[in-house]
Amino acid sequence: MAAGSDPAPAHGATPPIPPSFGSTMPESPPPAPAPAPGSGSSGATAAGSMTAGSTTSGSIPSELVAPEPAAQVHTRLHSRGQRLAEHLPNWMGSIRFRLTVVSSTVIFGLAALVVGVIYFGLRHSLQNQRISALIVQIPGGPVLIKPDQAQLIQAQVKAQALDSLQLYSFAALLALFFLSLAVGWLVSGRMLRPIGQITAAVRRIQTSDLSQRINLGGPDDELRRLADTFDEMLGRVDDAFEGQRQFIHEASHELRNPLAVIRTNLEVTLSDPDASVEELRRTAEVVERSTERMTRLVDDLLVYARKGTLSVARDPVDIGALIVEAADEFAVTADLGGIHLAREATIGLWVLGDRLALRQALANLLANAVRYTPAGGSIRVRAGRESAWIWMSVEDQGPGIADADQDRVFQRFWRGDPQEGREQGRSGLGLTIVRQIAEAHGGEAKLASVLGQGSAFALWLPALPAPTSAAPVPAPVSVADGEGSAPTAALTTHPAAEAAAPAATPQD
Amino acid sequence: MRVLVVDDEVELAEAVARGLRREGYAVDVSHDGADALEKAVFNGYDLICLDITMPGMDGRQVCRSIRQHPFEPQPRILMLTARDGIDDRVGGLDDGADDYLVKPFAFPELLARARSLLRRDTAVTSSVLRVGEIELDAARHRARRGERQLELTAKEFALLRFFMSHPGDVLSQETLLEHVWDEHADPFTNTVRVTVGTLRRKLQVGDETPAIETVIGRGYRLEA
Repeated sequence: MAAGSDPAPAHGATPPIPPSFGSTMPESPPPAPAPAPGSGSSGATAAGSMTAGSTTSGSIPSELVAPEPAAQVHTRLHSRGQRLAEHLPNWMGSIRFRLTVVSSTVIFGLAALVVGVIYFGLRHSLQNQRISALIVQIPGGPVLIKPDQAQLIQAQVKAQALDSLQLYSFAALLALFFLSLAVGWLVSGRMLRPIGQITAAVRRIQTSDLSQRINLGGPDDELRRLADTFDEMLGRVDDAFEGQRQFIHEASHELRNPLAVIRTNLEVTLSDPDASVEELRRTAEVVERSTERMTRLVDDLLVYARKGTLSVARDPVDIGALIVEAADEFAVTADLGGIHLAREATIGLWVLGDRLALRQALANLLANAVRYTPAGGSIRVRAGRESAWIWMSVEDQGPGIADADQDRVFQRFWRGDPQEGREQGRSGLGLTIVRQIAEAHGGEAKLASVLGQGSAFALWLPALPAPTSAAPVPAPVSVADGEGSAPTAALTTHPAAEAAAPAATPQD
Repeated sequence: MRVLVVDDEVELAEAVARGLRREGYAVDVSHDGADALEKAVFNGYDLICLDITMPGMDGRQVCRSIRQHPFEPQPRILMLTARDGIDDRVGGLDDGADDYLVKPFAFPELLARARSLLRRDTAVTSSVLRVGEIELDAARHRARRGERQLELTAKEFALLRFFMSHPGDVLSQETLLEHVWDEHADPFTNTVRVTVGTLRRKLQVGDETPAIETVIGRGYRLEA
């Protein structure tokens, strides 16, 4: 959050920079930069360069398109500007050039105005001064010059004065023009130097490795904030890439093992010209098992990758109803394994989230529980509310998970017993996906387990403040017949259940 | 040549073992690190194909333990790994592995590397061994004496190969049993004597000089 609010003013404060900065980014043959030299507003030229970049073939349709006043004029101007820009030398298209031209034009204009005001003011005041006679002191004594002659002389003097004022003014203006150009060029160059540094650094980073940073020093100004924002972004991109690389590395490792099994079995069997039908059949079975394993792995990888990138849908979901649904779905599987599946849920436990994803999380937990609970054991799935949180939990009577492993169960590709895991065709992603779904919903996945007694997995999700639909029915849907039976009772008192339920509330 | 294949992927280990046996190696299989180490210490292998990623004791630990053990000679270790990062490979080699192969590998490549590793013992540079007029091509699985091709079973071939790797040495029945037969061989049968007998008959036809000599009370020797 803090990172998000900081960069905004940096971008806002320097609007012309990002687009042009973007247009100078590409490698060697730099595209024709934004045109319209001397068009005045740098904001406008920046906008122009944006559109120029986005519609490169703009000149072709402009002649062909049916007349559509505003758009056409815009396109024509734009394409004319573009054509002009193509003929300009490279340096003329730079921000530095534009800044120089703009500042110099403004200074020149203002100076011309001042000089003009002085000139015309002086002329006006001179014209109003009329002399009626003139006495000239010469060695022989004062001589009176007649008014018409005196006025002639006065007019001549005025004209001379105005002429020289004009000359000096023009000379000064000319000098000012060149001086302002030079100063503007130097000043804008100095101002824009950090941008050059940023560009060079970013270019260097994109061609080498993402671990480098711009690290623009200097005062804490707009450009420094821009560079810092880039650095932050690079950090996130780098982390994301690193995460992806790690994931791909792990995933490829997981896929290589079944591939190796398939390849070696095929090669060994096929290279034997005397292979028996029995041997061929056995090889085919091995290949079938391995492909099944890979299929499951790839399916889970896809789920995992999708959940990692997409934001979850936000609809009101009733966790109580979800529990009932999932428990019913797994009842048959549990029955086949001789496991008793008990559910305890109240309708109306609303959260905002992705129904399918939450269902998948619950299904993964239930599949795990069914896998590890021995025949004759029981599984309890329930949900409830704890202040601002809705929780759902699945408790099994499996072998439990050692303390040392409890942190690792949610890790990618972790399997309690790799050999057994492979035989059952497990991907090692089931619980990772559960945790991912919980976190995508702003919640948490928790585990409490005691070796030899069982495990309890709980998902904590932020409750929807006000139930959106009909008033919740606070009646337990089904407190299954096994409520009082020994296994369930054991789990209520068993520390695992205690910890996974209220005690495991996320710290928030 | 006696080989131990260690991999927690049962179906992979079995397939590798099957392929190696067909090439005449005596192969044992192990599916976890501790068991592999025990077998290695007990049996004295020529080559160990060792998977790195295993539950419990992993391949690198096994490799280090084997290297610390005073074997004479040390077995060759070929690491099989699904990890192909440079760190993984360097780590494996640093732990004392002689070579590594990334899964999934081509089986002929595994055979070639196994041959290459086993050759290092005998300072021979190609897969063809030559002792006198006997020539054995391990890669093509062919052997001949002079111009005469020898029709050998896999076991006879393996036995001849072991003899040719140690030309002139006296090899006891126990040594042969240990290096040419796998752990399922019964040490109390006369299987070594019988196989040496058939190999000797195949090597010596007509008036050719005897190739394998019996050193009474000690074992057998291939005449150089």
